[in-house]
Amino acid sequence: MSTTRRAAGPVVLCAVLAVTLLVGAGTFDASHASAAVRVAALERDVRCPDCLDLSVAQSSTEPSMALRREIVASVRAGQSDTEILATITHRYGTSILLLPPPGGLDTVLWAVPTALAVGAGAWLARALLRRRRPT
Amino acid sequence: MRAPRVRLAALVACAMLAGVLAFLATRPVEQGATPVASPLIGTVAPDVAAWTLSGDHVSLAALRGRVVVLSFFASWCSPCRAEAPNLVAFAWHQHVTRSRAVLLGVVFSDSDAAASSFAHAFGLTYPILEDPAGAIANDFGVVNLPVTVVIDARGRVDEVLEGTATTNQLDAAASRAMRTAA
Amino acid sequence: MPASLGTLGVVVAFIGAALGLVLQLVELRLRALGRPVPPWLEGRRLVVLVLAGVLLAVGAMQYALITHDFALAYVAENNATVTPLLYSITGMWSALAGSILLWALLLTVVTSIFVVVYRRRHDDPVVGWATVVLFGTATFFLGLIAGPASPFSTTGSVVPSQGAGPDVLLQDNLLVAIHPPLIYSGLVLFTVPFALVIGTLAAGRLGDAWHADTRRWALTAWTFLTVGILLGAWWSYQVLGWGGFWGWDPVENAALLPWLVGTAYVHSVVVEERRGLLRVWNLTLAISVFSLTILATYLTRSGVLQSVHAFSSSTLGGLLLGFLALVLASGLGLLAWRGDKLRSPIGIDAPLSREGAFVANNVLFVGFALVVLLGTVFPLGYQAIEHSTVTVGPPYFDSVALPVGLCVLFLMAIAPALGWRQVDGWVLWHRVRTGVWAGAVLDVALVADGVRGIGTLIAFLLATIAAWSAIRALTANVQAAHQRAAPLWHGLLGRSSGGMVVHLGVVLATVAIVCSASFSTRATVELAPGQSRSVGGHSVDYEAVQVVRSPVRTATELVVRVDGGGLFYPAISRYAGGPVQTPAIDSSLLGDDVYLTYVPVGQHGEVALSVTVEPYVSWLWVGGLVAGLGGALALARAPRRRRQPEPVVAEPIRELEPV
Repeated sequence: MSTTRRAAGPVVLCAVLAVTLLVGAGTFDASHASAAVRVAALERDVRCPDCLDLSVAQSSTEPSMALRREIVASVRAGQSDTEILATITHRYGTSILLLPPPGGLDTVLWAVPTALAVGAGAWLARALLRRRRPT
Repeated sequence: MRAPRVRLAALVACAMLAGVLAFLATRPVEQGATPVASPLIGTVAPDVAAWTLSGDHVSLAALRGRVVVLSFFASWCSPCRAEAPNLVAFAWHQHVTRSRAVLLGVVFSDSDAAASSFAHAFGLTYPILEDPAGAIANDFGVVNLPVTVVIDARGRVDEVLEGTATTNQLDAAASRAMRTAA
Repeated sequence: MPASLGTLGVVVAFIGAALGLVLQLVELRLRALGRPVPPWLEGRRLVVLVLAGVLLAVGAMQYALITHDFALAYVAENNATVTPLLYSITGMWSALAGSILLWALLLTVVTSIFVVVYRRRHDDPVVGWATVVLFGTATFFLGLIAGPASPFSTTGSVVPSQGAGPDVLLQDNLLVAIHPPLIYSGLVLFTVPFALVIGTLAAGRLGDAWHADTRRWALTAWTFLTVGILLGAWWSYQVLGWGGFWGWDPVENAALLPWLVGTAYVHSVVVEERRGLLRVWNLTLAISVFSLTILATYLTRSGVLQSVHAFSSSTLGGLLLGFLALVLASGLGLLAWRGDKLRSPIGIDAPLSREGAFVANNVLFVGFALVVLLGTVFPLGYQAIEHSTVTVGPPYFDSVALPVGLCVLFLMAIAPALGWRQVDGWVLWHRVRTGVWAGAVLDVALVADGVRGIGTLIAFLLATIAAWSAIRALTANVQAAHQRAAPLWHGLLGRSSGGMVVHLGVVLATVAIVCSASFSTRATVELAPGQSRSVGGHSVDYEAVQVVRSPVRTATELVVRVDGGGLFYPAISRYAGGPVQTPAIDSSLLGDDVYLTYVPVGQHGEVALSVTVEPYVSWLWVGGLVAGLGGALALARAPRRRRQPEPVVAEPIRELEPV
């Protein structure tokens, strides 16, 4: 079978996938940066005050519901995400967020996986391309 | 002879891990509450006479001869929420060992309704004193919550703790207060 | 009485383990000198004493729990007169103070099995040194129980008439009887591969004779741990009330770390067996997995990290770290001494080969484990440097898990179709072609249906290809069995087929996780009696409220009808220890779970119901069980011998002088 004919299948498939994934990534959809999306994102980042691992989005305790109402009201009032989180952090302390505050030591948390990924990729490439040594 | 890479790697790993383990070994366990050098320690505690949320009357004078632990809290105070289960466990331990130590909650700058629902939500099994005018808090110099005051059987203030007290800390504080009064 | 019997049992077991350890060392020395060893000097025989002691201690604790003997402080804190029999029995591991007894029991049982299995080879120094490690570990844990971690302390002169009962979350679900023993078994079983690695290194036996045994023990441990972790997630889902199953809690992460490295290990040992590569790496992995199980014990029991499971005792933390230091020092020390002689002179021939895929698998899993470890202990470092508390929660771990998960799916998609040494690109394409087309069709259907999110779509594509590759490999194995004139089911046994079944289970689980992350909907609705609402395509009718009483539990239950069909009872239950939410779940295998939680709110007869619709979440539990089945299949041997594997192309290893 000639190379062109063999390649036809994969090429068509790649084209189909590319289009599908482009559409699926929401490239052609109208912008969804609505208030609801912002509220959902903020609720995922704030920890439920009574619990240890849950976000206020996942918990239905009274303090969580109160915080969720506050987030909704603040977004509606036009406050920015940074301002809202700063107010909450000021009241409860830095541990109320499910991620450490950005900047400073927090960069270690993200730098390490990135460095590992880059390093692993480079090492993998090197190890796999190393040819068999003459014995 | 090829370079002993495994040996080098193993020794480097040993050194790094030793550092990590030493770090972990020096971590504090149970941050807990910190003792405060209050001017009240060693003096006779200011008298407290108040109504509880359930309508009973409590006074420190009537409790002379027993260790009394006062826990100042509010429904809006989030470390108090973390502390609540520790207080319940502490009350249970004292009950089970028949130590005659008494745990009393004191409402600090909060409505009785909110304090009531806090007590209900956390299953607080001990009496909670109302302090509508903030007089008790003022007498004991309470500014930051939560505050725990330990009073021995002679009515003297033995310890003042600021922060989220753990059950072990409360048990230990009560035991110490019982020993000083003996 | 149970307190003294229990303590006696622990002390007897401790003495047995310590004596067995010493005698085994003496025996090793004598054999090295060529002197005969009389049977009474053989340390391994003392395992009987250890087992007897531990059984006595466990029996005493169980007796105290079942008879509600509150003279024991542990029973007073974790049991009540109204506690049913099942939850009295499981009370032994409901709290950390008692669960170390379960750990000791399983460790002793595993040690006993080891001694019995290798009784005919007991004069082999490898078995001797491995026994030393097992007895040493047992001595350590029994020493902890005899001393700082004793669950047999008494309540003093005044015995309470009623106990506090088990933790409220641990007394209404059968999984409390299954999950802890399974997960502890998995963790404890990883002691054996570590012991064998120490044994082979110490005895200078660096050839391949012991690798098969080490692999099988590791695979057994992995299977138990996989099912254990999965059941833990299912249990959390059923009782915790927020419809999720994994919170990246420090204790959950602590059990995940050995699992991740264990998965890397069960893959890379295949490369060692086939091609003689990665020897030193595999030894390192075996040592790491065991070290991580000790680290897991430390993180759970030292109180150094805040967790819903944590217990605190600073003495225990220090001792566990000391043991961990000893484990690492001995493992790394032996590697430093003898590891260089094991290095293979050859490398991997081509990147597009099965070896290459397995190496990539190792890099992924070990790398992810390092990141999870970093995220788990990061708050400690932050506290030490910046003096303020932070939380590292799901947003971090989920962001890292997504790309790792996609890469893992990719490897599962192509590795079964790759050959050893190298594969032609066209051949690979031919093998995965059907899967890729099927995945593309699925993606087109999803996008047409309105699904958005490139991560989700890529995940579904790769999952389809992975499922296809696994099924293709399984079919090939079954056909091969047919051609050998063997029964078809023989084709499902053995490592290759078992592995493919595991992959299928993982694909099911991944699909469930992706659906949960992308398609679940949650709403809190306020309803008056008789009202109904629709959430995520399901109708929820609030019919009535009722109060239910039993000796153990008083509950306010809502009667809710879902989709006009069955009735469900989300409730707020009050046990002796306090109130807790009891969710109700309308589960379905081929559709959505409707997860209902009663949210306490208002005073005017209205109730708030939190309704979460989770599509296909049942596939997670099914997938986990399928993966467990795959592990069991991988361990099974077909009655007829398989053909010899490809000869190992490697420099022969000189046998070194035994120590």
